[in-house]
Amino acid sequence: MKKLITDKEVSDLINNLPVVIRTAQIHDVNNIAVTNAIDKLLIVLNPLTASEKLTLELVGEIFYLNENRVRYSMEYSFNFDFLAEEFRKRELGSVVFENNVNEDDIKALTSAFITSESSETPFQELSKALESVPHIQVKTARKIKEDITEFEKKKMIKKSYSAAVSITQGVLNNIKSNEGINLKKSKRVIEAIVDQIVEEESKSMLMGMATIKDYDEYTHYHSVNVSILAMAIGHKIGLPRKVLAELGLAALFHDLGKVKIPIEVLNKPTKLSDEDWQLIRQHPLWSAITIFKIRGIDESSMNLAISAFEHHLNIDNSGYPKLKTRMTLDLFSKIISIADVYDALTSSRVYSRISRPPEKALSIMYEDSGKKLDHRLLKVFIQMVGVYPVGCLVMLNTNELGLVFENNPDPALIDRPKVRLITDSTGARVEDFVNLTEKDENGNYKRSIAKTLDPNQYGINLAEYLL
Amino acid sequence: MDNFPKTEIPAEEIGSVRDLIQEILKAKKQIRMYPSSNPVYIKASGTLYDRFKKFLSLYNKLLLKIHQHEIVYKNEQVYYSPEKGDNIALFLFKDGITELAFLSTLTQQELEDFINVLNTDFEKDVPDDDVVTLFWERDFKHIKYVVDEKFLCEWEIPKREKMPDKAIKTAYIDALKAEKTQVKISVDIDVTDLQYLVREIEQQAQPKIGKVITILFELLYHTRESPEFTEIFKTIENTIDHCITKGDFKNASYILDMIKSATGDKSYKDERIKVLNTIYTAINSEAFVEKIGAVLDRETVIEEDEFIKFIKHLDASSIPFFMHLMGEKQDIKNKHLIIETLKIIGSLDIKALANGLHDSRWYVVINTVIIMGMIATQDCIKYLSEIITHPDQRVRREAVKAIGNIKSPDTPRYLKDALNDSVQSIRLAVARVVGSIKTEGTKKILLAELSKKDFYTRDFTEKKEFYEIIARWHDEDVKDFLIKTLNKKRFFFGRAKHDETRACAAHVLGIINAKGAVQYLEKTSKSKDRLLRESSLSALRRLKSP
Repeated sequence: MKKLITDKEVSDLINNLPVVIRTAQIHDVNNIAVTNAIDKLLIVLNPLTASEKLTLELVGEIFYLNENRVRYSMEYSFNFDFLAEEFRKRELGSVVFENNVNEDDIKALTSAFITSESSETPFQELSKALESVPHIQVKTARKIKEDITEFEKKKMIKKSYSAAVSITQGVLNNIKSNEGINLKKSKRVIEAIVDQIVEEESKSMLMGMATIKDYDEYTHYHSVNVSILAMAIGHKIGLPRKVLAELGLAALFHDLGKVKIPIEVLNKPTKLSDEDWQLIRQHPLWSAITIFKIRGIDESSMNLAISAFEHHLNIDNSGYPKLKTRMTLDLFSKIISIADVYDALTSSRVYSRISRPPEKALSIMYEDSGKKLDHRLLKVFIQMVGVYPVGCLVMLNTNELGLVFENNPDPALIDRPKVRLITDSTGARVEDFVNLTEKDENGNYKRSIAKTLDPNQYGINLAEYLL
Repeated sequence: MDNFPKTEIPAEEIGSVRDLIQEILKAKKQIRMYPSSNPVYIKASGTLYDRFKKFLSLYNKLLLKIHQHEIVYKNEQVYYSPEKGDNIALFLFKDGITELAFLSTLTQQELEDFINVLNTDFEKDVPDDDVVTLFWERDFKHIKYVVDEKFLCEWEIPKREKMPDKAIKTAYIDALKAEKTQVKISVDIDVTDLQYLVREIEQQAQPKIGKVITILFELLYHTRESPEFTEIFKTIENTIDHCITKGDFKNASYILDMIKSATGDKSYKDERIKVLNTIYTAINSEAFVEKIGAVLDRETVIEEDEFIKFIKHLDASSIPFFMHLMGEKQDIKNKHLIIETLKIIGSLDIKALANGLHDSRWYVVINTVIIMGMIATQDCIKYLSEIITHPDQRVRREAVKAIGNIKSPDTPRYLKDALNDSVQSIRLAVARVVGSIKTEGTKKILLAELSKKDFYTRDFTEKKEFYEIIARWHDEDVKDFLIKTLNKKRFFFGRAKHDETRACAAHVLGIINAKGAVQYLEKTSKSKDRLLRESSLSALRRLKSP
């Protein structure tokens, strides 16, 4: 009979294997730090391989242990992402640990893992190095039958994003004209986006889409961006997909109450008066009232109304609306606040014309964390988007100019994203992609970010670059 | 998914698919009609799965194309229905499902879940969902489907120019001049962070109604001067309904506590307070009480403390509706909570509660009596004494108990007549109650009863208990009465029954330690009647012991 693998065993394995790899990236495999990490891994591995083989396989974005899907959990999400990325880099599909796997086997695997990283044909090198290792086998990545091309993926993402914007617009119009909201379509779009969020490559593309800012249709695009960012945070902390969809929907409708703010206030070309601000500060109340009015009390409306009401409250309740009774913010509200503030700071709006470059926005948010924003969730957010988030206009130390298009999932390398080059070091236009983790023969990074600029100042349409 | 060329498909294969579809329709009906623990349900699910397994082991996969009125397998129609209602093709097609594939690894649970989706009444159960959402939420691993998403949106965000050349040049020059960036953000996530996040996630799964109520009252406060106030108040009323329907008395109570607090808040104008107070009309209404009844009948576990807290917000106007509930739902689960409710609200208007004493159904009367006995206030006695002669002895017995609970000097007066009840146990119950009130009056009532001519004819156990009750007064009157009884001889008719009574007196003289009775007891200790003799000897032993 197949041995049942417990959640604890899964968690221990997913947490310990990356420790061995990371330690070996710094030290030699015979260094005591590495051997200690290997010993710990063997404590986990030995009982699991006592009576049968143990196969750890990556299919798409999901790990399987002996064909059982490994749940994406907060307890190991960072190590999960790291391990998945390391597998992908080497085109590695699965590692099979056999009975009696020992320290030497793991050392051999670790060595092969490290040396294959910089190879042109990493899987072949890894596989060759392990030929003489008796208790470990590796297999190449299995192609998922339903795999679709990058072009199709981009098309689907653009479609989801467009649908989300269009549906948000429809919903807001319906509310303006006192009609009901049909959540069916919104749910379908959000579910499609959830499926994209849980897939690493699509997630990066979606984050690219979420950099779209529209001055005229600010609220529609903003709602969709906040929804995408919120779901991405939710995924990072291990929320199950159904809960992610609930979060996405709550985020999509967090600003419904803005329809009640007169257009002349929202589009006022001059500085807003105190009265105007008073109106703007009413929108969380109006959002909640609107949701209750249209939906009544049910499970869906509760989540929507809570997030709508709380998203400007701040965790110390110093925001708005002013409360009679102190409140502890809901997890959804805390997540949506982060996504909301980030998108708002990086956008130029009628009533706040100054947009900040993404990394500046993060610094501002970081300074406020603990008081306004949840400090720990903000850390998760920054780990996810990197300190130079997607859409950052950067000049590298090589004087090349580029746009950050994909962050690095390794928490230790959050300042080393992938960059799409716009100019070479002389300022001439180029089209190229570079990974800032690339090192030269001396082990030094080939490129690093030296300077940052605000992409909005130069009229860059990020999404066109990033998709 | 596959596209099949027009080739000859074995009739047997097509036949199997048609049978399978028919089996789905059959299982769908049975699964809808029975709960999952019912043998019919279990059998239907098992049979369907066996059929699928058999088919999938032969053909590996079942791929169906879904059209509005038909289902097609390898270009052959395997299902057709022109109906709008009972049409599984249309049911799937209307939400955009165009293909459905069952893989060889299909599990019974997934197949059952699939059938349950087919049985969903969207209007009633999940008005915000469609088939695709339900499939998506179930995250099927071995059932794949293709959805036509066209209906969602044809519009696409407009394409924009990436970046003008001139802007790139400007950006490049600006960047050369810009200062070096310095990022000072530390984002190490440690164990404490992880524990915090895990806690937050667990918390997120908890019910949200408490938070929603707090928000509703914040909204109420913020809108106290605006027209939205009424809407918010309406939502609050609906929220109480929602809580009650779910059996959540804790949060229903919370709402009422908040209402109470708002009505005492000076920042609300009088007209707003009036509106807030209408909540009490709503919660005391017949319709509302019926909802409570439905919950009490449905739920197996009710947090009683929370229920009681909620009930304390009701007033006497709901008494008739709870009385009605008590009458109509004799076998209701949690019946004791209706009794408890009537105890609480009944005490606010005993007269209204007392209407239950005149109900034609004995159990309503008896429950009302029990409730009055629990309330046990002075004004209950009057109503209870009216039914002390009720034709149903169960009612009379409870009435005695109830009156007995009311420790009042008037109690014996109301119970006096019941000492003559036709039922022995009731007479005894009355005697016990009367005896528990140790006054001269009650002593007289009891002695009068014992002195009745025909008292000696009663059953020995009854007589013994009556005498033991009178023993509580060990004064001279009682001693004299007992000695007199002990000495009362009969020579002819009914002698044995008389001697029983004398034995009771002897027994009690021992209990009350009546030293002056020794000489009489010595005489009776020689009686030919065994019971009298032994009782006397026993009493003497007691009296002579140091």
